[in-house]
Amino acid sequence: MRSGHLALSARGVQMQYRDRGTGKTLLAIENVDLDVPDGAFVSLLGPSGCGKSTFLKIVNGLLPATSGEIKLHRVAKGREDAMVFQDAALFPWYSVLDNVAYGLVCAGVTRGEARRRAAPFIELVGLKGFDDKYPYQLSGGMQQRANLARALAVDSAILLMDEPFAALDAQTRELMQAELLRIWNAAKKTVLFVTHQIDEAVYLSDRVVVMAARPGKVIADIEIDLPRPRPLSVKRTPEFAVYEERIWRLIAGEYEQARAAPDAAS
Amino acid sequence: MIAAREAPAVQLLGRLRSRNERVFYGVIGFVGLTLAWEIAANSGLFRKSLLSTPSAIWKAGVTDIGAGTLWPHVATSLEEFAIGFIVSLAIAIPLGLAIGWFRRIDYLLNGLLAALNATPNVALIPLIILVAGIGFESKVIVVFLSTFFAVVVTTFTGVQSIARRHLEITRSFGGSRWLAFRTVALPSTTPYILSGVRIGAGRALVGVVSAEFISANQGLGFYIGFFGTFLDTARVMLGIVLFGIFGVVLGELLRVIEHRFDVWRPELHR
Repeated sequence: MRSGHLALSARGVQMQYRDRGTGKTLLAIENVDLDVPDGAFVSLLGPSGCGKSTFLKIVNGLLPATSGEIKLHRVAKGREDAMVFQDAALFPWYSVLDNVAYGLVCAGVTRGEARRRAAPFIELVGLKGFDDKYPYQLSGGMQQRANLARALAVDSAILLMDEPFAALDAQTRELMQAELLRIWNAAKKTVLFVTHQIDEAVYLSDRVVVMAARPGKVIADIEIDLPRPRPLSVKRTPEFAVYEERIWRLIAGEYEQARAAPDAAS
Repeated sequence: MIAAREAPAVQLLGRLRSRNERVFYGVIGFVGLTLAWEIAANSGLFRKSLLSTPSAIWKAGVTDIGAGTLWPHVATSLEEFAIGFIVSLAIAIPLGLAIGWFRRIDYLLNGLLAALNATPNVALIPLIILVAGIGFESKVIVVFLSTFFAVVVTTFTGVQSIARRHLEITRSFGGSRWLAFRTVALPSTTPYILSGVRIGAGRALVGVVSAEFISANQGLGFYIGFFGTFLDTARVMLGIVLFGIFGVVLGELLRVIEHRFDVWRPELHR
């Protein structure tokens, strides 16, 4: 899959907004450059308030950037990008099948055809037999599987994942991480994954892009050179711990700086 | 062993109770109150001519149904209610959706509708009778208006309460605003619309009775008022009981429908 194309190329992305209370202009994201090659799994890692979710929404077109440029690699059919939302965000009035088909319906595919094309993705994410269930009948992990299947079904060039496992309990989260790698491998997708968990980012990614808060900016871009496929046991290897430690130091260092200079942080 | 010797009737009661406690105790409450009323009246606790008795109401009902003098009144009230109610829903729901979906229509009509919704509709009845006469039409208009404001207000409130992230999904996948309306706004608003329909039905019932009291020549409200002037309390009570039954049956039916859509409520999906 590494054809050398860039699935996503962002240059100088900036996001300002006016605080309604104080009337001051705040800089949420400052000058972010990011390249995601075709087929890669890249994570955006940072504390809350670093603008990583905002950046994802800008890429997705849900928010307009104040300045900067986003280029998404065009594919012949389908959308350039598809979002996997933080909370599963399924429609309670639709069955699993109709929820998964919804992205295609948005793209103008008829409902019947959309359902037909959605079905294999339900199987891919391990929800076979749950087509006719409704979201409230599913566990949190299963809802996230449906959320993922909906994004996969539109066959986009890049998947944007906004902390999709943040609300899950620790064990389910680990399982879903392993599942995601399996699906990523099977679907041959490019992924831009937003998270605040260091171990999650290291485990999943080819590259971890570390961000700092106030204003949100990229402070490091770290290649994760761990062999694939990665079983969950890789998390207990010394190599893995070294990556975790290195990233942790980066984030802690930023935090210390921000604390030492509180004026600069506001 | 002791249980096996209980009388069959007692066993039957026990079985009925365990099957549906709610209904079982509900029936006991109803039967108990009716009996207490009957006994209290017959033992001279109050004058029968003032509050009548269940047996007298029953007798009056049997007589009037047999003579064919009750049904025309019931039919008139039902018809006034049905026409006014259905026409009202047909206009109020689309209007409420439009107000909720289009900001400018909201600005245009919101204040006006909120004020009219807050006005007790009964206050409008004398004016309506003045304009539309004492016949069928004025009652239909009263029912229409009583339903209308409740349904419009709950419907546009429903549209405005849509979970933002639900709308974001359509936008994220490149769906049109019209698609968002059909696939997100409509289902998300349905529980609100149904609440409005239930509230509107209650108000419409009050509207029918009030309008028929004030002036009419037909209808169940007229029947109650008419026999009230003759101190025929059994027939007054009969009218009240019939309205009560209609109100309970309709209310419960609408509540059951409403309940089915509860999981669609946007406040559960913020």
